[in-house]
Amino acid sequence: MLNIRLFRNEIKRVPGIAYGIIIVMVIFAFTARNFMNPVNLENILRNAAILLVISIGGTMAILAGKIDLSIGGIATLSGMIGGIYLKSIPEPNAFNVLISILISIAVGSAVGAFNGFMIGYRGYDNWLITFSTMSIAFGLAQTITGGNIVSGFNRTVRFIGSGQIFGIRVLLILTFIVVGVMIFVMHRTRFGLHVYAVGDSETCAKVSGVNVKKTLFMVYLLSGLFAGLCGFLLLSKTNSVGPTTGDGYEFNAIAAIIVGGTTFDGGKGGLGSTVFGALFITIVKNGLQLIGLSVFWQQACVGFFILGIILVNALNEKRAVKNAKRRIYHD
Amino acid sequence: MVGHEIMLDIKNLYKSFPGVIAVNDVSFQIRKGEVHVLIGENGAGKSTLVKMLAGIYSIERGSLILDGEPYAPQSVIEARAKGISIIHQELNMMTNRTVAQNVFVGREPLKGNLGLVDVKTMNIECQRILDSLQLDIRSTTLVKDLSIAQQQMVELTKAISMNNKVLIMDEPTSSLTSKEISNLFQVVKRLKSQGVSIIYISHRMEEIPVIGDRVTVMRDGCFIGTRDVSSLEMQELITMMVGRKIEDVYNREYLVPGEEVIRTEGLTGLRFRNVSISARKNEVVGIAGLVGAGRTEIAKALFGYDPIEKGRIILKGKDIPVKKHNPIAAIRSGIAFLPENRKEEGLFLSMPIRKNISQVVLKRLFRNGIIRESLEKKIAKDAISKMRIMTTSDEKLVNELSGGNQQKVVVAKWLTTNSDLVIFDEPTRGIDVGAKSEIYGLINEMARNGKAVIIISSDMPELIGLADRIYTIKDGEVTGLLEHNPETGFDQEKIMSLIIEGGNVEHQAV
Repeated sequence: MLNIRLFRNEIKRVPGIAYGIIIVMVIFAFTARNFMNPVNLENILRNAAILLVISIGGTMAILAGKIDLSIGGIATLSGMIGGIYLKSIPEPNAFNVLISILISIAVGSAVGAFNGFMIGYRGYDNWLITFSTMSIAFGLAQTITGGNIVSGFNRTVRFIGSGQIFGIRVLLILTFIVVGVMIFVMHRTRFGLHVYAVGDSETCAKVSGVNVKKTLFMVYLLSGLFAGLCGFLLLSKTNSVGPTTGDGYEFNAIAAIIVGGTTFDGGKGGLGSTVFGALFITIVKNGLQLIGLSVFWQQACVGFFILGIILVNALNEKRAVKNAKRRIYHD
Repeated sequence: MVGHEIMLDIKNLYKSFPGVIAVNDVSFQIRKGEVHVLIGENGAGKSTLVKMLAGIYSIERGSLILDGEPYAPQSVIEARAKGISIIHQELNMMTNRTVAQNVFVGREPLKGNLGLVDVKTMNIECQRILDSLQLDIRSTTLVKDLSIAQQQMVELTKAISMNNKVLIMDEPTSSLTSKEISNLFQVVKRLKSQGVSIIYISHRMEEIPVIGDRVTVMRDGCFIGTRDVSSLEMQELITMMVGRKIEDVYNREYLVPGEEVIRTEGLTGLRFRNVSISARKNEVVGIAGLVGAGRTEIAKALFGYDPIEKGRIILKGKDIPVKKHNPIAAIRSGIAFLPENRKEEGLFLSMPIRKNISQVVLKRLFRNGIIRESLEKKIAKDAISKMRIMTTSDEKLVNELSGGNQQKVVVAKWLTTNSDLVIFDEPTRGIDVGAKSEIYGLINEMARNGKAVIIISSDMPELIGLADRIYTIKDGEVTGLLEHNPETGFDQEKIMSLIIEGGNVEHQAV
C-alpha cells in the first residue's frame, strides 16, 4: 500500500512522460505490425525491466548530483564472471545459480565500492573515475574470455530471465520487488533522504551534518550492486554473455533517467520517473525495429525522441521557475 | 537576564587567510541569556569569528570555553552537539525539498533501528515549531515555493529546533520586512528568557537598542570594545566602528553633473517593475535596497545580462533596443559592470592577472587573428600599476590574490575599456579597509573624469559617503530619490524607511 502511494506521489510530479508513452504507443500501434501483439508487449516489458534494474544506480547517482558511467561495463564484467562460474559446473542447479548471482553482485559491488571510495572519500571527479572504471570493466571482461561469448546455459540458469511463475515472468516479478523496495528506501530511509539532500545542495547537506562522503560511497556501491545484478539478468535472459553485452547500457540508462524527469541539477526526480523513462526508451526502440527502420536510423530516431522529451521537460521547468519568481517578487 | 554567568569565553582567537588576517587576537565574553550584538564594517572579521565558533572554520590560534568546558569544535556537527548553531547570512537551503526535510536534514527522526525515517513525526514536529514561532508556513511545502523572507524563517526554525546554548545569527534581518523583523525579535526574546545566549551580527544600528543587551565592536579583524546597550552613545559606537571620521574615507568631491549618460523609463523585468532612473556625467548614483529587492537585477538588465520585458533605456540620447540588449552590445556602447560575486562572475580564477585584465579588450589585441602579447602585457602592466595591485608578476593566478587585490583586478579590467557608465555591484564586499579606500578613490576619479557611476551597496555608510543621489528600491520598485545635501548629507533614517517600508512614505520623499 505504502509503496503504491509513494509511487503515485512520484508520478504526480512527472506526468509529461506518461503522455509521451501513450503517444508513441498509439503511433506504433498504427504503423508497426505486431506492435500490439501480446508477445511483443511482454518482450517490451522484459527489456524495460532489465534497463530499469541497471538504471536504479544511475538514478541514485544523478539524484545525488553525480553520474555513473560505469554501469554498462560493470554489468558486462559481473555477468561474465558469473557466467564463467556457471560454465565450470556441468549441470548447474538452483544453488549454483544463487552463487552465480551472488558472484555477479559481489563483483559489481566491488567496482562500485571503488568508485564510491574515489569519489566520496577521496573527492575525485565522478565523470573521470566512472569513465575509467567503465573502460577497465569492459577491458577485463574481454581479457577474461579472450573476446569470446559465454553461452548455452540450462533451464535452471535461464529461469529468472525467461521463466514464469503462475504465468507471470519471473524477471518482471523480481524487478517489481527490487524497484519497489528501492523507491521505499529512497523516500523513507535516512540514506534515501540524504541522497536527495546531497544532490540538492551539497554545501547545505554538509553544514547540516549529513555524512556526504558516506552517502556518495553508498550511492556508488549500490549502483555497482544493481549493475552486477543486471549482468546476471542479461545472462539469464539472453542465454549468453559477451564482451559487449552491457555496451550502451550506460547511455540507455541515462536516457531513461533524464527522459523520466530526473535532472542533472540533482535532487529532482526519482526512481518512479525512471520506470516511465525505461518504458519509453524500450518502446521507442522496439517500435522502430518493428517498422523495419535500419539500425542506423533507429539510433538517430531514438535520439530525436529523447531530444523532444528533454525539450518539453526544459520548457515546463522554465515556466515553473518563472512563475515561482513572479510569485515571490510580485505578490 | 540570569545574573552575569559566562556562557562562552572567547580567548585570543586568531585566524588568517592568504593575504589577510581576518580575526586578530580577539577576546570577549558572552553571558548566559543575553543578546550580544556584534557589529563592525564589512570585512571587520565578524563572520569569520562566528564561523570559528560554529565549527565551520578551524581555529588557528586561541581557545574557547563553553559553559565551563573547553570547546574546540572540529565540525559543524560537533559544534551543534555541544550547543552552538548558526543561522547564515546567505541562504543555504535545499530548494527542492520540503520545509520539514530542510529543518531536520542530517538528524531525521527514526523509527525502529533500520534507518527508517519517521516522516509523519518529522512533519508534525516541524509544524509545531513553525506554529510556536507564529509563522504562516506549512511543513510540507517545498522550499522553492516560499518567498525569500519565508526561507530565512525556515533557516531560523532549523536553528531553533536544536537545543542551543548559543545561537548565532548572521544578519538575520537583512531581507525581512518590519513585520517579520518584529516577529523575529519576539522569538529572540523568548529564547533569551530560556537562557539561550544569542550572538547577533547586524549592520543596522537602529536594531541595537531594540534587541541588544551588550554590543561588541570589531574593526579590521580586531576587538575594539564591548559596551552595555543601556548606557550606549550612538556617536561613540560609530567612532569605534569606523575609527576615523567618515568623510576621510570617502573624500568625495561633489561636482556639477554634466549631461545625462543613461536614463531608463518604466523598465520592467523578472524581479523589477517600472524602474525609471538616470545617471549623469561627473555623478555617482547610489541604489539602496535590501538583499533580494531587485537591485542587482536592475544593474544586470542595464548591462544586458538579465532580460527586459518592457520599458526604455536611453543611453547618451539614443534608445537601446531593450528586447535585444545583451552584454556585448552594452560593452560596445560604453557600459561597464562589476558584479557582486567577483569570484563567479567577475574573474577567471585560475587564469593569470594579465589574461583577466585583457579580457574585455581582447578584440583590440588581435592582429590577423593572432594575439599581440606585448600589447597585452603593456595594458596589463599599466592597469596593475594604476590600481596598485599587490603582485610580483602579471602572470600570477588570480586565485592566489587576496579579496581586495582580486577586486582591483576586476576594476583594472574595466579601466581598459574607457566606458562612459560604470556600474559597481557591492564594490567593497569582503575586502580590507586599505583596498576599500583605494576603490573609493578610484570611483571619485571616475566621476571627476566625466564618467557616470552607479553603485549598488548594502553598506549604508558607503552609499551615503559616495553618492550624489540615491534611489531606494523595495520589492523591485523605486520607492524614492534622495539628493545629497552639502550641509547635512543624506537622511539615513529616511533611506532606511524607504527600503524597508517602501510605499508609505513615497510621496514625501520624491
